[in-house]
Amino acid sequence: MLQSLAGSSCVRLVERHRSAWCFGFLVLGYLLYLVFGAVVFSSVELPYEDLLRQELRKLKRRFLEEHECLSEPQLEQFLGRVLEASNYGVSVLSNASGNWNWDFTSALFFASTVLSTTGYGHTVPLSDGGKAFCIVYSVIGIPFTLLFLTAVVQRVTIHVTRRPVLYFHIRWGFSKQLVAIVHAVLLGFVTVSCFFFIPAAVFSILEDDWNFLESFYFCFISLSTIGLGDYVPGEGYNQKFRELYKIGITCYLLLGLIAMLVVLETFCELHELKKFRKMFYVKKDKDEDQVHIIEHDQLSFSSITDQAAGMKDDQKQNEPFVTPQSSAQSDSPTSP
Amino acid sequence: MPHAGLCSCWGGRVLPLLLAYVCYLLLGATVFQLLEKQAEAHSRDQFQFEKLRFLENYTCLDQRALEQFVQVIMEAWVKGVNPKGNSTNPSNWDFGSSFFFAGTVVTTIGYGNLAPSTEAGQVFCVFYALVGIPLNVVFLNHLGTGLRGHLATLERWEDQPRRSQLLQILGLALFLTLGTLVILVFPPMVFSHVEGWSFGEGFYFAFITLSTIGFGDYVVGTDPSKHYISVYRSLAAIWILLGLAWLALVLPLAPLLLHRCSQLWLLSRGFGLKEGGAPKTDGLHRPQKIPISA
Repeated sequence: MLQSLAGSSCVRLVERHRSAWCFGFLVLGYLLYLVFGAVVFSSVELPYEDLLRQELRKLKRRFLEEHECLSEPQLEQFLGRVLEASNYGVSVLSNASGNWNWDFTSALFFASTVLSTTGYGHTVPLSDGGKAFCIVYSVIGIPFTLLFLTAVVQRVTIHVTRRPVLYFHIRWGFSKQLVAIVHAVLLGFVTVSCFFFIPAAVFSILEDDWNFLESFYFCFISLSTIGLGDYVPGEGYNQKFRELYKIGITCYLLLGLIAMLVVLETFCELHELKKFRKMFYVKKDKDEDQVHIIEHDQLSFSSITDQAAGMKDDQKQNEPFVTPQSSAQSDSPTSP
Repeated sequence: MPHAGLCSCWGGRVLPLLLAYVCYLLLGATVFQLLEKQAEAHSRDQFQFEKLRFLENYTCLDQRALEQFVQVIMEAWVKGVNPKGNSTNPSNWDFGSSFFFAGTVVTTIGYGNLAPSTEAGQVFCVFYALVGIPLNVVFLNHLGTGLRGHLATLERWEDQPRRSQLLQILGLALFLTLGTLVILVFPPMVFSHVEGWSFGEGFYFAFITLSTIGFGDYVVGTDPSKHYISVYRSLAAIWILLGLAWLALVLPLAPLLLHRCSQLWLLSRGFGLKEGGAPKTDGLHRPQKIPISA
């Protein structure tokens, strides 16, 4: 009996370490994947961008030479070329020549926006090779990103949501639902101020012509992965430490996305919301396995949250401290 | 019996949801149109004025004047004004386009060729997305779940003869192929024909759209020199929603189908039902992880 207990605890220890190792490899692999994408994008796109730039410069010189006899169709043609180029993120303005759209940090930024499906569109792959690679890269990369985010969010939620709620519940004996609601609202406020208001203030200082509302708008459009691309930071003409700035923004976007998902999951775990969500789903008379398959949805926030909830119920069996509560909680995805 | 439950559910819950969803899209389109149209007209007029003045004194044109002019053009371009052609171009914020924009916001595609430029429009966009994105997720989720629930009735296969199994899997394959053809392959061909893109570009556009990345380098219905039918962009928005729902259905199904095929292959190789049944429970556990990594 004692032997078997010790054995099981040993196994449990190994299991937990293995999970940590796997997680470490996952993080490393994810970072490597981002860097790899940045390298390929950079090497594929930089020559083409250079070509386009030279072409534009030549066009402009010719235009300046013969502007005395300028006529409407010529002007229209010129404008067409300028806009086509600006659509791809190349500017003909002379003071814009310092910034490359496809240097390494920008390509990294681009890769991260592709994988999070934000897609600002301020820089896009120009060559056919770049487009084909973009498709392949995101076919592999987006599910990978989802997997990564799921793993991270699952771990963060345990420490940020489950533990504190349980602690308050046990220590002071508040009702669990009340604690959960108060905690969710507080977490929401903290996250909004940390990932929306503070960055918005920072952006409105760093970017020349953004006011606070525009910065806040940018933060929201980015973290909701809409990514309209009408405001993109780091595109000004005279910015110092542009590389550092771009990397900082990339980190901010990833962290912000994780924070958003954690908040979302915290809210999704609220009992009232769960009941509300259940209203829309099909009544289940299948066994648990099928329910798991059916509930997951690709490419959406809820897939991550559902997945994480399912995983956590599994993992909770391994935590002796949490075990008494698991029966109360584990009714989440399956109860009718 | 699960059939009946499903049907009542479809009638009772989905219809109001669908209605609310469509109404929400229409509301968004209307409000965006109201907020943005005037600003767009103003910006367009200003741009036309700039252009005329440029044409007036281009004989004494120098570098700086040109630079300033180009800068103005770029700013106009960012705001969605196309300076080519004349001022009678169709508006960027007419109803069809507003609808298209609302669709791209709630699905988080966000092309960015249209973006609200007034403060009010930006604020509204934030709140619109705040409600619209979860709604969109619930909607697509439900659509996928319902269709997949239909297909899950195929789970009870053990008590059926092998021939009908084969028929069913053939039917399923036909359904999936046809759906993919109609929803994922055919529309990009139409788009590339209408817009004058190559098929590769059309496919790239479809992929960037349905993966909700949405760069906005290729967007349907933006060429000012073409005459589109008036509902073209709305049809495009509906295609996007259909495509997303189809993907939500198909992507989690793929591992299940693969497993089924391998099981059928095993059966046809002459293994007994008992042996074929054993890996089934195994395989049903596995897709829990696969849908997110596949």
